[in-house]
Amino acid sequence: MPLRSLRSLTPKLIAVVLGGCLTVYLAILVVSARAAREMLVDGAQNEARAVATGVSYRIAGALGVAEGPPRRVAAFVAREPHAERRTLENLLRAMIDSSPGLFGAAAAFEPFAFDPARRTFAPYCYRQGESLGMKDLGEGSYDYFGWDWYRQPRERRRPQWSEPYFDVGGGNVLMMTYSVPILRDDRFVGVATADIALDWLQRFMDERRVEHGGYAFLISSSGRLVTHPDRGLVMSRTFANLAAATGDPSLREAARQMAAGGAAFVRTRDLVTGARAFMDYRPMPLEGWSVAVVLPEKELLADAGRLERRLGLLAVLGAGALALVVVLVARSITRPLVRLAGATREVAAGRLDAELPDVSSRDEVGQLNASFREMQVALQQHVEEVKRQAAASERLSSELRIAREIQVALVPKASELSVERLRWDVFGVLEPAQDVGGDLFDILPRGESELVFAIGDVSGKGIPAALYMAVANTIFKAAARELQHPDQILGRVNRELLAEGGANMFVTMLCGVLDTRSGRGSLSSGGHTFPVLVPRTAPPRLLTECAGTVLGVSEEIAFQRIDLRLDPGDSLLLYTDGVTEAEDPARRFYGEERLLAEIAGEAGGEARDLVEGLLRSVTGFAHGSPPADDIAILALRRPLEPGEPRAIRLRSDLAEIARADEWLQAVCRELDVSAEAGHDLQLALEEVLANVVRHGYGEKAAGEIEVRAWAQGDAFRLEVRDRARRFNLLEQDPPPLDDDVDGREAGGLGVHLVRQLMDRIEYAYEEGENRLVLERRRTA
Amino acid sequence: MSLSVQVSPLEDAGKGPTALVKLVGRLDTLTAPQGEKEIQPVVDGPARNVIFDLAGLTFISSAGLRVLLGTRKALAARGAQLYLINVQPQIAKVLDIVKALPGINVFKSLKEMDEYLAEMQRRVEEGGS
Repeated sequence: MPLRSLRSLTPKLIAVVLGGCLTVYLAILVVSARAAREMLVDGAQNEARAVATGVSYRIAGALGVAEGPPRRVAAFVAREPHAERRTLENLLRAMIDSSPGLFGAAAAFEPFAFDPARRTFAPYCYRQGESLGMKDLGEGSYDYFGWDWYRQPRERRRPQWSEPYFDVGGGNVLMMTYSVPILRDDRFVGVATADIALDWLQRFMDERRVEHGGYAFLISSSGRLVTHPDRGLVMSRTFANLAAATGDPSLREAARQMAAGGAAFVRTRDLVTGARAFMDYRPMPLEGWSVAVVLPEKELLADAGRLERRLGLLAVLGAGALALVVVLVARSITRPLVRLAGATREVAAGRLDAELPDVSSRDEVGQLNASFREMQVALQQHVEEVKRQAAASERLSSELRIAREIQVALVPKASELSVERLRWDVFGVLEPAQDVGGDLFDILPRGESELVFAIGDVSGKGIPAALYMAVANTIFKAAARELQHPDQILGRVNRELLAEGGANMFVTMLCGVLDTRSGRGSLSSGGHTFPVLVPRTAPPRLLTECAGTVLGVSEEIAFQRIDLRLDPGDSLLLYTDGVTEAEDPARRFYGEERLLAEIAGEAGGEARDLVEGLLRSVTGFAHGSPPADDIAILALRRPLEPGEPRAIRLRSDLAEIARADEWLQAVCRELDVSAEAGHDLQLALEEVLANVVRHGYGEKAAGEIEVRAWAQGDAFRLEVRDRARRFNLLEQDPPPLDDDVDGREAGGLGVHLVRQLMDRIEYAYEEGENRLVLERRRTA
Repeated sequence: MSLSVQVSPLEDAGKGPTALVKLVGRLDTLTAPQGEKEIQPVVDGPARNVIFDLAGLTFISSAGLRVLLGTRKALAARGAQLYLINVQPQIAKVLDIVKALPGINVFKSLKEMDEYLAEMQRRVEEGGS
């Protein structure tokens, strides 16, 4: 396990744990911050409302004080139509004197209403420092009839507060006038007024400082700012103007609502600074007036911000502490893992005794460590076991190699088997099993025409079997030279093996002697598998009468001898039990029946075909699994007489030419045909067969062709018989050789070759058969 | 037995594009169609000289002869030449029987063929001067 992946466990843990915690914390933070803001805003709204309401009542109270005196004056004048001017002036003076909030008071009359001699009459008493002054507003040019404080109550017939205004004459003080119409018998005769200075109003409003840097201000019925912390705005600007100047829609909407006498708590902007602010506005108990309380958002929410910052800091600190804990936990998990990984690598590198970390915990890491320790021990034991086995197997395999070498060295090579001098066709194979079963075979020419041969199978395996086989073989070779019959030879081998004193070993052996000229001979068996006689023209058969007792067991054995005769073309097949006891994957034996069936197809064929065909069949039967026992197969075939025809049957198919060719080559070898003559015959046969297939039967048709070959003195004769339409090769015209060959009738060139290469060609059409005989000298 | 055909272009200055075709195995009834097909690109190709190296050819029948002669004819039609080198005795015998040799230039080896061609070249140049 790479160390890096272990190290990355810690950051992974931190990421997961911290990520999760921070997410939850952040959610809490957001929710609580929002709640805190809402609470703050709610509080601010309540506060703003309280301030606004307080201001309303306070101002209403103050103004109420100013409303009493003019009412009383008006009532007096209405009641006393003939009152003296002095009485009126005294009344006014007494009122100012008794009402500290009043700045001045007047009674103004309609033309000639108070004194028929005077068009205008308006006595006005006012404060002048500590004393009181008195003047007639109707004197001089002061025509009061057009002034609001006179005109409006006259028109509306009810008392009314004027808009605030600066009293230019009286020390530039902000003033307001309350006018009460004087009605006598429902006839308007004038107004009684009281002025109050509003300088206290600003102070009062300034004292109504709202928390969080908020402030309150008043708006008159004409929309002017009556009080405002910014003195420059007072009376000079209307709220609507200022709102329009800021361009803020919420502020403009507030101005509209205010003018309509609405009340609301809105989030908007400061009229002057343009900063975000909350504003509560509501109508005053004074017609058309509004009071507004502004709370700058920044200051208001400063607390919320502080809270959030504090929570954030707490989150960071918490996360840090959590990270530390996670790192410590992760370390405690990964440290043993890292050490275990290191140990694993050492083990993987082959140091099986690598020391494992001492993990005592009972958690998963501890369990892992414990199982790894068990694995380590098991691995050590396993490796020891494998080493032991490897050493044993090496010893065994070198033994087997030696055994195999002994065995192979003793068996005659394929080249030695042809027994040239005797002209017999002999072929044998030995396929040693993995652990060498001790099979052997041998064949020796003797005298003018005799062959002595044997095949054997030593009990046991490995070197002992191979050596025992070597001994048996040596004894056989010596006995074969001296003794005439196979039973005698086996008797000698048996006795001498017993004399050698082989440790509990024995051997099955089959021995034979044949005269190559007559094909006559005899066989003796020492407990060996039955030999098979393979007649050229009849089914093969087991020579079950050829039986006996194994060699190397008892001296008191007489071996039987059976006579044997091989006709030309007949074969004798010898084999060991590696053939019949070969097993297929289902553990069925190959068996004798299968053996007979297999070689039936090879009857009359060469010894090599017989042996190799059988070996292929056996290995195919075992599905490629290596043989459990040695396989030895030996075949001896008495050649046909040279003059006896060898035959092959072919289907009318160009592909059959290859088979015919192989057959012909084998026959040529057997009949001592020279290479050049063989080539000529091969070419001629191919041309003739191609002709028969193409032009005789026609390529699509089914048909049979029989080819026979034999020697006749020095000549080799090849006969091709077919039952296709009558077709005489000899009647073909020779091709125009000097001409262009393309497009020439396909047969011509081939026929020409056949004619040129063969010494003689005979054609006959008999019994519905084309019979073509080609003849060629056997030597060049 | 089967046939294998190996075609390799030989860049031989002075003689024009040359192709070397190695025939190995048997050129008989069964293998002739395959041989003809594999030789076809050379016949259709740009080579002015086509050399059949028959060192590995062990057997030829009339069907094989027809491939050789057909190749010679097709090459001649576009002014190209067929040469045979390393002809084995048994093949030479067959070629001889059908009198195919006069139409085809046969040499023992590539070297002998080169010498022959150089000689021809020399003669042409001398005749021209």
